[in-house]
Amino acid sequence: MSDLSHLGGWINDPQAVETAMSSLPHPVFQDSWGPIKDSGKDQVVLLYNFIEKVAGAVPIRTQTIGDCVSQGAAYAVDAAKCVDIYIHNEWEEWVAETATEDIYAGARVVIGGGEISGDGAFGVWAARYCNEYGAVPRGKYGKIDLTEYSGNKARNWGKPSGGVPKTLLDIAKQHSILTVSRVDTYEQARDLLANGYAVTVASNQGFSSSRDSEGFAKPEGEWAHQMCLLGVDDNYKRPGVLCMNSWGVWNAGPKRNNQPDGSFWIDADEVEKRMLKVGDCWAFSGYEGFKPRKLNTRII
Amino acid sequence: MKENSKPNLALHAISFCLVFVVGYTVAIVPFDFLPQSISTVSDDDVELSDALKKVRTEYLKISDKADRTLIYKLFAGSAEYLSHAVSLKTTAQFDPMLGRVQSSYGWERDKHKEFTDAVSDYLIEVGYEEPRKLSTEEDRKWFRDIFRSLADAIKG
Repeated sequence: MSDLSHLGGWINDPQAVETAMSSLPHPVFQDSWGPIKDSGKDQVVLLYNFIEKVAGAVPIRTQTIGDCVSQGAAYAVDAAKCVDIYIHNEWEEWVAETATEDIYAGARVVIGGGEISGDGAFGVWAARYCNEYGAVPRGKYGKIDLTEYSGNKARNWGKPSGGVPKTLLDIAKQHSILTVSRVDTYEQARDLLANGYAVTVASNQGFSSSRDSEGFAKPEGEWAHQMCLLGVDDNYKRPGVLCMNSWGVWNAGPKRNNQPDGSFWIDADEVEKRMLKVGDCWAFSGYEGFKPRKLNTRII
Repeated sequence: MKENSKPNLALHAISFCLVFVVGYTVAIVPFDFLPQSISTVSDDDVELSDALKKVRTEYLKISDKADRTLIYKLFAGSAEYLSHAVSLKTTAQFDPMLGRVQSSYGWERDKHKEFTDAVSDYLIEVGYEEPRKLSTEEDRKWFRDIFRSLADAIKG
């Protein structure tokens, strides 16, 4: 498998993260953990299965620039949508996978103020953009075509002089993520995932492109990268989380629990020590979705 | 977190059942019930809304008896299926199933445009267009009766 670590685009700057998260109403999950604490113990909850059931298939994203932060966030939004529809029975419909270009530009320009010239962003910026503005499914919005992923579009919109087109921003505001909160430990991530929250994970930790016999990937190398946790299995002999990458089918090896292509399991202690403790990993939940469209009446 | 439904699996199962129900209608309804009555349809003692009268009028303009028979079976089969389909959560779930059944019979929608227009007008009038949850028995009866009314409107 080829080395795709150049596609990383997460920026490690703890001070900047602290500053950016200060405006969030519930910046640290630790403070509101109580009601669901330990609810994920011994549980197996696979959010990617909910996505598959609602959307028909788990999107396999393949980024072409360093916009991993938006890719990971988009997976978290996908999961939030599907949990709302499938688990919470909300009267909404799946439209399409979440677009990434607007999240990338929103994170860098709307939230970040256009401070970064090269590729990349902080995880907290994408979390805040999805929370304070929103995220839209792939599709056409007037003259704006977000039907297919475009790394070039993401890069152009993400320039300091760019930004999210206003018409799209107005639409995104109707479709926000209701809560985002920083996750610092495996137990927190476990309980959140078990309750239908997806968790973005940003760190400098890389992983093997070969899954072992149990679907896990060994930590190795460095990736300045954001991905998304879409499942937890705390009932297995090796407790861990399912991590979804955005490099297409970049890895290989045995799978477990019907995991999607491009994903791998991470051992509980590894994800906490190497990723969550870095301090830029975010739980997403609740999506202001799309009400069902009118039915076709030309049925015969 | 418990899964509260399995829509995909259910959808396939329901679709299968709907094919069966339509097929079943074909199989058990006496031969003289459909073709003869359809060909001798009369307005005399049928109380229909204006929209259903239009459906009936356009239906009677269809010269192909096989098409008329199949249309009746599709509506009657749908009503019969919806009488039992407790796993259907929303009205939006039904149309894809109906579409698959129609495909299995080689039926193409809009084959008789004026008839489709009339059915569409009726469906809009009764509120079919707005998707609804099928939470209660009353909801299910309302939805079933839409198709029952269509079947009754074209039955002699």
